[in-house]
Amino acid sequence: MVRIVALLGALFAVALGARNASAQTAPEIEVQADPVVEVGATATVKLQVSAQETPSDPALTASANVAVVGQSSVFQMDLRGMTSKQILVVTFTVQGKSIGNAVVTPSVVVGGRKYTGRPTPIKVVAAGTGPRKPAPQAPVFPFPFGPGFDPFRDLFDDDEPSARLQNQTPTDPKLGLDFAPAPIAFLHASTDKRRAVVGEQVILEIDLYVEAERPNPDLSDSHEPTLSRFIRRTMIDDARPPDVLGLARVGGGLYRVTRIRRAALFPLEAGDLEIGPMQLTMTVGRRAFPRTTDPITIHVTEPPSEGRPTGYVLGHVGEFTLQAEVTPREVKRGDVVSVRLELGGKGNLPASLPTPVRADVEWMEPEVHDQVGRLDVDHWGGKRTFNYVVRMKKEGDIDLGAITLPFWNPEKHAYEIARAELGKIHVSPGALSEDEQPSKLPELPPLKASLAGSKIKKHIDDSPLFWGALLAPVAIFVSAAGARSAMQKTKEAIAKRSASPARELARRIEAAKNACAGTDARAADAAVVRVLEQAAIVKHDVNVRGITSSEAVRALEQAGARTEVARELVATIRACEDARFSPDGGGIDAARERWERAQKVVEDL
Amino acid sequence: LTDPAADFALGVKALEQQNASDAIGAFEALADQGVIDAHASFDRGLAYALRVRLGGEVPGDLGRAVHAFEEARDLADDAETKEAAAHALSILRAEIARRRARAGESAVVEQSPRPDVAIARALSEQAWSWLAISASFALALALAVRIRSTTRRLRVGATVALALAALVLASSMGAAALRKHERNALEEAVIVVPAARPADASGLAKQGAAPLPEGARLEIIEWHGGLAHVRWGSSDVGWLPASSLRVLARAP
Repeated sequence: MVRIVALLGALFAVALGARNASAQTAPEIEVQADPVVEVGATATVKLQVSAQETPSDPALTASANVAVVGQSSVFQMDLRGMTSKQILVVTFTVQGKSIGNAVVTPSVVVGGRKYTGRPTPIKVVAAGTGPRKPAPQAPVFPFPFGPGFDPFRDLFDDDEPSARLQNQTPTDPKLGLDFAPAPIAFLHASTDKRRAVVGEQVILEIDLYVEAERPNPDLSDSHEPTLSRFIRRTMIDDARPPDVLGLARVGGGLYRVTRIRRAALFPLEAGDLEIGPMQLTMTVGRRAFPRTTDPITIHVTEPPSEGRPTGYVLGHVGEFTLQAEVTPREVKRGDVVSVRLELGGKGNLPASLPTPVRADVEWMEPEVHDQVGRLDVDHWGGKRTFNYVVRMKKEGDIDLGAITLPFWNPEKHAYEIARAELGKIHVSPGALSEDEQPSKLPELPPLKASLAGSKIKKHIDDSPLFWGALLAPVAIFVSAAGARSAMQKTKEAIAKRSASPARELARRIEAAKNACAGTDARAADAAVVRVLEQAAIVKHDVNVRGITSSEAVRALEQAGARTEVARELVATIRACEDARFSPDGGGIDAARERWERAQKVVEDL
Repeated sequence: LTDPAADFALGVKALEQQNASDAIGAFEALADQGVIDAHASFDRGLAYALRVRLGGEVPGDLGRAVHAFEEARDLADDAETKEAAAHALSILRAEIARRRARAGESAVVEQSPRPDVAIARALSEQAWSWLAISASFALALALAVRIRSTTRRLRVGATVALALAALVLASSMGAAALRKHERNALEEAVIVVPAARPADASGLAKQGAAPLPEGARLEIIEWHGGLAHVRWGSSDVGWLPASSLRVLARAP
């Protein structure tokens, strides 16, 4: 064995967690490192952490003459003894940079506390002068402490390792799922909340579940989840080997869970915003299969409008503080002062700050420096520094005012205001002339000192009366014209009806009766003659007027009248006319007799 | 602060003190509360214009000022506010045109609407409605004279009046209907970024399409996702990011 392995680490009885000391045993940390590395070559530093809680976030700090160039980790369970332990084995790869003695110090987080391993020396020597390394051997089981190291060596019967693993391995219930959406391995996405306000942090986690007895698949063709309506901040280094979270029961099976993505998302707008699926291809042996996560919908609303401070900008959510530093406090007109504003806190820090605008002060565009990143396990944040150059354009004691940043604090469910007073600047007379004022806009109209008040406008065309008024004139005209026409038609009909022969006969009979009731014999005879003439027309459609007596008789006979009746009609007419045209008129009594004759003729016709 | 009058008073005080930031904050708070008031919009326009005048201009301030004055002009019932808003708009648009011309861009910052829309907008909806009613009466009168009159000259005159009244009735009814449709359904917005480049429905920039100027008043045809399909004047110019627009409030 050429490989020199030096056991340098010892168990650290870390007693930092005194509060929970009785309930929690400090993790055991073991460090091994290659003692010598050539410049340009690589050496390994192996860290083994054994703890009751899941170790996470392993890291290695190194002196300047070596650089950490790689890292891989293996997670397993140790079930020996009375209590189970979770073992994290991390292999760091360091590269020699310059000749000298280097020191590497590993660290790991267990139960929310950071534990540091013993600082370990590595000697960096010139290229070609270091020890020869053995030929690499393919590891059968990936325990990095050599073939003799296997934390499970006493646990499983050789013929039934899977069953033992299923029955006895403790699992993390927080990682458990009801069922596996796909065989062998699958992806699972989750968020810490499903409701948020615009700008509030939402943690997205994507875990890889692999059946416990299978090796980790190779991952390729990765498509990140679509997050077009969010700002995404990565909470773990995507390029770093993923953290093994532990074992979980999924639908009765045992799965090894590895976290491959963890990000803080900040919604950009209100609505039901979708976190799209992540897609990648997994390869086990020669078999490749695609896997995706389910999309997740986050219901995003605006913070309440009630109590919203003046100047609040949608999306400013978190917990912020603001500090200001102004130098110098005394300048000449036209000179500048430096205003340094430091914005810090949790959340997506605003990219700009509202500066007070005054006619006598000109704020230049700021220079912005960020120290933003993961604050702790669950929060994104940091510091953002704005360095302004402010030009003082008027002499006197100029009050710069204050910078205020209203924000919504989701933990307190309340609006708060981060505020920094800038104070006064004493400006003495200087070179800047008054006409250097940048105003270019002409004077605008004067302001309105009171609200106009809202009046609900009524529109005439919303009323049905509008259509009535619109149609009424034409409708009235058409109605009037129609009525007039109808009246005319009615009159004509009445007149037509009144001109019928039978009606005329009746009218003439009535006239004859009236005439005979009077004393004028000629008038009575004339009326009788008109009755007889009309009776001939009505009864037989024969006009006896203007024809001779014999022609009249013949015509009546041809029309169907009896001869004696026809002759009596003609004779009665002749008698009436003789009397009418006689010198004495014939007398009224004789006329009445002729009327009686005539009435009989009319009946007999 | 939830009292509109108090917010308005704060804004007015800040304006009087030439404190543009606080004035903008106060008047924007009013808008956030849903207060639709011609004077609040007018003073908000003054606040943004003040920030421009004081040299603390934030990109889009001229557009936001134009938006506020357009809103004030639309909402105002009194002629004085309407005229003042129109005067402020002419100043701001002249400034935008001057800047665009200096940058070698088109100085056109306004587009005329379609001729029929322009005619309809020449009078208010109320005026068109009353005109339609008057034309209806005139039509009836002309019909009566035309039918009853026996004098030839009178009949010819009545026929001409009949045709004119029918024309005025039809056009005023059409204009009133258009104005009513605009009141109930038209959504308009103003560009509040220095320039907005039209895109197609998928959000990809249109080849060769010139950016629309700040302060341009547009008609919204439809919204889709974060994009708005817009018409400028009589031209369908395509899709713009919703963030580049601010919708004009309408009177209740």
